[in-house]
Parts: sequence; structure tokens; C-alpha cells
Amino acid sequence: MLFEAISCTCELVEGILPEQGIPSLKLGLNYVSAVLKDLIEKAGNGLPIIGHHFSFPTEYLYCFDCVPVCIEATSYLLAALLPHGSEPYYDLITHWGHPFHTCTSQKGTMGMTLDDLFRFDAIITPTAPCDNTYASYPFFNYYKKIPLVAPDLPFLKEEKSIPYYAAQIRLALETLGKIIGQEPDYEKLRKAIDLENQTYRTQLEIFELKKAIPCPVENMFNVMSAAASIYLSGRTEKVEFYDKILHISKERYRKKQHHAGEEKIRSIWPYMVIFFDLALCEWLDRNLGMSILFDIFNYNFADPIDTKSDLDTMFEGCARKSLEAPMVKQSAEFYYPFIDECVKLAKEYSADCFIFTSHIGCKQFGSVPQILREALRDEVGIPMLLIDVDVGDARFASEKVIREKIKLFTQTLM
Amino acid sequence: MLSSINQENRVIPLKMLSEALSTTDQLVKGILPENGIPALRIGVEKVNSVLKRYIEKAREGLPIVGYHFAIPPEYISCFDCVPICLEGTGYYLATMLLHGVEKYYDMMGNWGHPFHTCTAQKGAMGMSLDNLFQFDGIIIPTAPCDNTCASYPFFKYSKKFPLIIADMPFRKDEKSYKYYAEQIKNCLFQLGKVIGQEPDFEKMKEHLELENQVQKIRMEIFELTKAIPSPISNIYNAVSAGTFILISGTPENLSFYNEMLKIVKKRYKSKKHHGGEEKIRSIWPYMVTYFDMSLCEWLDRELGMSILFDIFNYNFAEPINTKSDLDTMFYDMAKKGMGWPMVKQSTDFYYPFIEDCLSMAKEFKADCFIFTQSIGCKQFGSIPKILRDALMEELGIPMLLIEFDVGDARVTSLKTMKEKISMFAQTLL
Repeated sequence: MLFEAISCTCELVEGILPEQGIPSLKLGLNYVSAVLKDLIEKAGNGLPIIGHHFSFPTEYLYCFDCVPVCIEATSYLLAALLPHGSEPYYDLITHWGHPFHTCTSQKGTMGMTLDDLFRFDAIITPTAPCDNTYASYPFFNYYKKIPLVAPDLPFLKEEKSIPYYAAQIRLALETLGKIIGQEPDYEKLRKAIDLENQTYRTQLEIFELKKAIPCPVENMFNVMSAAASIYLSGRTEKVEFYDKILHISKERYRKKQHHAGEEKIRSIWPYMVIFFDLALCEWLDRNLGMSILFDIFNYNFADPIDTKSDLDTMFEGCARKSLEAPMVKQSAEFYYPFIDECVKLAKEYSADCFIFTSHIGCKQFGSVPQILREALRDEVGIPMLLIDVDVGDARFASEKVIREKIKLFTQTLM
Repeated sequence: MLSSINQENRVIPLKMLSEALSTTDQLVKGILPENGIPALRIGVEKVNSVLKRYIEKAREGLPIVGYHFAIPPEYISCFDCVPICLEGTGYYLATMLLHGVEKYYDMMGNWGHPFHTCTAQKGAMGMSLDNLFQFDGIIIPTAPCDNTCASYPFFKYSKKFPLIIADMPFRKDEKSYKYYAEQIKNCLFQLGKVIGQEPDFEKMKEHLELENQVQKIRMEIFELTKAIPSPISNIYNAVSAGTFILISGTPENLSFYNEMLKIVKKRYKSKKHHGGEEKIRSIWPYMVTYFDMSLCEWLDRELGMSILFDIFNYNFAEPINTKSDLDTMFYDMAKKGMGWPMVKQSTDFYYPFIEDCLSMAKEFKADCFIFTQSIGCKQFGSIPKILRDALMEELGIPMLLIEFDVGDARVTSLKTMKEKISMFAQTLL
């Protein structure tokens, strides 16, 4: 379904948009489509299907010959590309008896699995970042009898947490290997991680370029980059995607060019952008001149993983990366570094405002806005708009309502 | 130096609770027959006796230490302080005051805290926002749920109360217990620095030993609940939850359970049911209602429905070894803390919970389950469908699911709850 939706969108984008129009969308969709095609072929060849939580990086699964499927990304990318997104599947699982207030990113795939559209051979999930994982993943095991492997991810982010989680990742991969009848091939894993290391530098460079006024990166990049971070992880397609985006961004940077004409407002979205309506990004760029400098998937960067030393060192690098993953990092931190980081990012990136999308599924991010708003006002003198939304379900706050709220907010800024 | 009245005003909600308990005590003694609802009568008296002592200590200027319900209060007894359970205070006041603590939930909501977090914490947050509490330090574990991560930073960020956090691992094995034991110890030392005291572990031992005795008695009462009719009154569950969280480690707590055991044994011997006739035996795997405890009595008397136990009355820890070295003692304390109600279930990915429910249903000859669920709790919110299927398939007993908020009558009123349970009961009889 996703592959077909992407292929369709690709055709539309190629056919309708001018050659230089929204390059991140064009590139992103093409690469994701290529990877999905490959995965579907592999599934056709009978390779095991492994579901994984978004905070268990896809590239770790490349030590197996398998088809990795990210539970959360599948729901949300489908939410972005299908008419009515993944809504039928949210409803299916709610009617089955799952509570309405858990995260839709998981509920979509749960509904699809309930409808027997997915047949996972195993699922792997860390014990973080939130209660949704505890509340939702057992469904796969209990109801659909899919083996569930759960590496224990500690709350505390200290030096001693690293070797602990490193051992957990390795143990989990070995357990997973037994389930699917394969030995983990750590050489293959090294290669996948090396590719990730390459993109890390490029990503950082793009991030750095965003400090420029006007921002040389279009809003849509944030969404496509979030998708790339999951679907293209550990693959050459990811390296190419970011290389090309960097090239375009550099060119715009040199020419002081903004993707959509004039940049009037620079915004930071510390949580998520809207997935059920990708057009919002473009609308903000073109109609309001509002840049989304980055969302949560685009300001958390882990250090490259050392693949040249021994396996223990490599797994410690993997652990470090996982503990720094978007949402994992923030959800267990009791606010502190998150507020500090937001204030620092606002200053460094000359942000004019924050837009905070808050969702009933997430208690941690739901409870921080008031304190963040005060911190931004007191320390940086900029305002924050809070929107109650479900990023994957248009029925919660519609595209129209969101646009109106942002429009009204921008009038207070200019 | 603050005057004693100002010192006392650091714990206004405790004073409110104490006054409400005194009124209830008078009413209970004045209106009910001598043997009427002994759990309530004895519980109210014991809790109030402890609260009065705490208020006196606050008046003397001792530090006020807030604690999360998953930190057993006897662990803080190594300090000369006034320990206050944030969740326990909120919910006990919800029970005792007219309109409970709704005003404080609303205050927090208006301040900007999300509506969907746990009201157990929101009550005490609102009271702190209103300057009714002045904590010198607050100690919490990182478990059992996102509500803790979402709500406690308010105290530190907005109210500038020092917040001490013990990292509780998800996994429950030997190395986790060792790790958490170390965390508890470190936190107690940190708390000591914050309030300017050295932790006195000898003193703590005495309180741990009291609780070891309490555990034995609670187990005995639990065992007696297997009898038909159940010899405990429904309200025992609510009162026991309160004493468990608010006055653990005190002589009053021991005395409460001793007196209860005596009464329960007597009823057991005479095969007597508190409410007359027991028609239905129910297990409430999550919580009973706190915004109106009269529901318990109504179930006993009007429907003949026994609540065999709720979540605070079926989780028991092993006694803590206080005779060996400190490491052993802290190891056992960690084990107890990690087996705490809700903590145990919230990180288990269902498995032991479903198994526990099935085995208890069999052992205690339950006729049904009543599962109360709140928007504040995702883990317990997601399990009903699977639990209901398991109970039906393996034991052939039904489960009623009620969406509500244990501390806020505005989500589901008492009337609605009674109607739902009445209709459900009709399908059973």
C-alpha cells in the first residue's frame, strides 16, 4: 500500500511540479520507493518480516537477511499519503478494545495487523520511550502470537547505562536471530553503521546551514528526513539523499535563497510536524513565509559509532545512539535538558517563535509547554503557539483548524 | 525563624485532611452502630493520629518531605521529618472533602498542565501552586509511568522544590535489585543533604520491622478473603490502600491491621458477611473509587457484591531482612519497591498481570472482575480487552469495564457507576 501510494505521489510530483519544485519531496519519495520495492521483493522471496519500534534503529536489523518494518513509521507515512490516512486502522483497533488515548503511530500498524495485513515473524522494541509502548506492543504478542523481543533501555543516561544497554541490544539481536533462525552477521551490521556514520556528517552540515537567514532548507525536508531516518537507514540511498539535499542547500545558502520566495518567520517545532497533511509544510513556506527550521526528528544527532575497534565498542556506540534518539532522549529526562536545549536552539538559529504540537498520547511532551513557553519568553523573548493535535489523525484537529491557528498566531508576530 | 503557626502552614492540606478525618470520625462514631464499618472507624482514627503527629512535627519546624506513592514511607523514616505522600494526600482529600480536590485539578489545568495526566498527582500539584504545601524536598522513583515524568518536574521548575529521583530499572532481576538498592541509598543521602540531616538507618530498621509485621497480617487477611462469604468489608480495601500509602512504618498501621485481623477472623469463624448476604464475589484488578467511598458500602449492602481486593490489596512484598548488613537490607527494600502496586504491573508488558488475575480468580472463587480505567493510565487502559478474553476463555467469568477517574467525580459520577454495576450484576444473578 505504501509503495503504491508513494509511486503514485512520485508520478504526480514529477508530472505536476516544476523541475526544481520541492526537491526534498521528490528525492525522498524516490529513494523511499526504491527501498520499499527492494523490501517487498525480499518479502516475496520469503525473508523473515521483523517489526521494530522507531527507537530501535533500522540499521541494527541489517545484521540479518530480513525485511525490517518500522511499526510507527508505517502508520504515519500511510497517514501522509492515503486519503483518510491510517484512520480506518485506528478505528479497527479502537473497536477491538484498545484505548483511544494511546499513540496513533502504533495504533495504525496494530489495526493493520489485526486485519491480517501484516504477518510479522518477530517484533523488537526497547522498553522506552513511553507508556504507549508498554500499552500497545503486548497486543502483538498476546493477541497475534508474534514473538516480542524487548531490550531494556534504562532511564538514566550515565556512563554505566551505556554498557548495560549495549549488552541488551546484542542480547536482543541474538534472541531475535534464534527466533528467525539466523545468526546475526556483525560484519554486515558494521557496513550498515558505516553508511549511517557517513550521513551523520552530512546531516550535521545541513543542520548548521539552517542557521543562515533565510533558511536554505525547505519545510518539507523535515518530514522527508524523518522518513529517511527510518526507511533508508543503513543503506546507500540514505547517503545519496542527504548528499543531494546538502548540495541543494549549499547552493541556496550561497545565493541567500529561500525555497519559497521570502522568509518572514523562522519557527522551531520542538515536537512533531503534522504527518496527516504534508501540504501544510509547503503552505507555510509559500503562503506565510514561515520556515520550519526543524522538528524533533531533525535536531537530535548522535555521535558516529566506532566500527573499527572491537564489537563491544561498536555496541556501546549503538547504545549511545539509541539513548540519544528523538523522544527517547526527551521522554525520560524530566524536562531539564529539553528546556535548556530549546532555549539554546532558539538563540543559535535566530528563531522568531516555537510551534508546539501537543497530543493526548504523550504525557511528557504534553506537560512541558507551559514551562517551555515561560522559558522562551523570559530568556529569549519569543512566543510559542500550542496546538492540540494528533499528528497522524486529521479528525482530532483538522488541517483547516491548524492553518487558521498558525495564521492567527503569525499575525501577532509581524 | 518562622512562628509555629507559619511552620504548620507549610502543610495546609494535611491540616485539611486531618480536620476532614476528625469530622468523619465524629460522624461515624455518632451515627453508626458500634460494630458498623469497623474498617472505616479504625482506619480513620489511626490515620488521623499519625497526621496529627506530622502536623505537630511541622509546627516544630521539621523538614517537609514529599514522596511518590511508590517510595514506601518507612524508607524516609531515617529522617526526622514530615513525610507526605503526594498521591495519597490528593486522593484521601478527594474522598473526604465535598467536591474532593476538583478545584486543584482545575487550577493545574488552567495553569497549563494537560488534562490527561493522573489526578493523583494533579491534586497535590494544584495545592502546591496555591502555596498550600511548602516542601523542603521531594523524592520519587522514575516509575511507574509517564505521569511521573510529566508531572513531578513542575515542583522543581515552577516551585523550585528540590527533586530527588531514584532511577528504577524496568527489568526485575537480581542485578536490577542491586542497582535500585544503590539508587535508594544514594537518594536518601542526597535527601539528607538537602534537608541537612544524616540518614539514621538504625531508626529506619525499626520502621521496616514494623512493616514486616504488617505484611504478615495483611497476608493473613488476604488468605481469609478466600472464604465464602468474604469476611472483609469492601471499604477495608479503600482504607487499607490509604494506610498502606500514608502511614506505613508507624505503630498505628500495625495496630490497624491487628484490629482488622481480629474482626476478620471473628467473621470468618461465624461465616458472617459484613453486608448481610454475599451474592457476588468481585475482583477489582485496578482501583476502587476514591471520590466516593460509599460505593463500597452500597455494593456490600445493596447488591451483596464483595470487593475481594483492589490493586493495593493483592501485591505483597517479602519481609525485609534487617538483621544482616545494610546492603542486604537495601536489596530487600529495592525488591519491595519494584514489586509495589502499579510499579510491578506498569512495566511488565502484561504477562504476569494476566497470569496473576487468572490465578487469583480461581483461588478466590471470583464471580467477576470490575476493571476501572482512567485516561491517565495507558498501561492499565490497554489491558482490559485481553484480560476480559482470558477470563472468559479460561474461567468463564465476565468483566465489567468502567471508564472513570478515581479521584474526579466529574468524569463518571457515582450514580452512573452504580447503574453500570447494577446492570452488570443483573447479568450475573
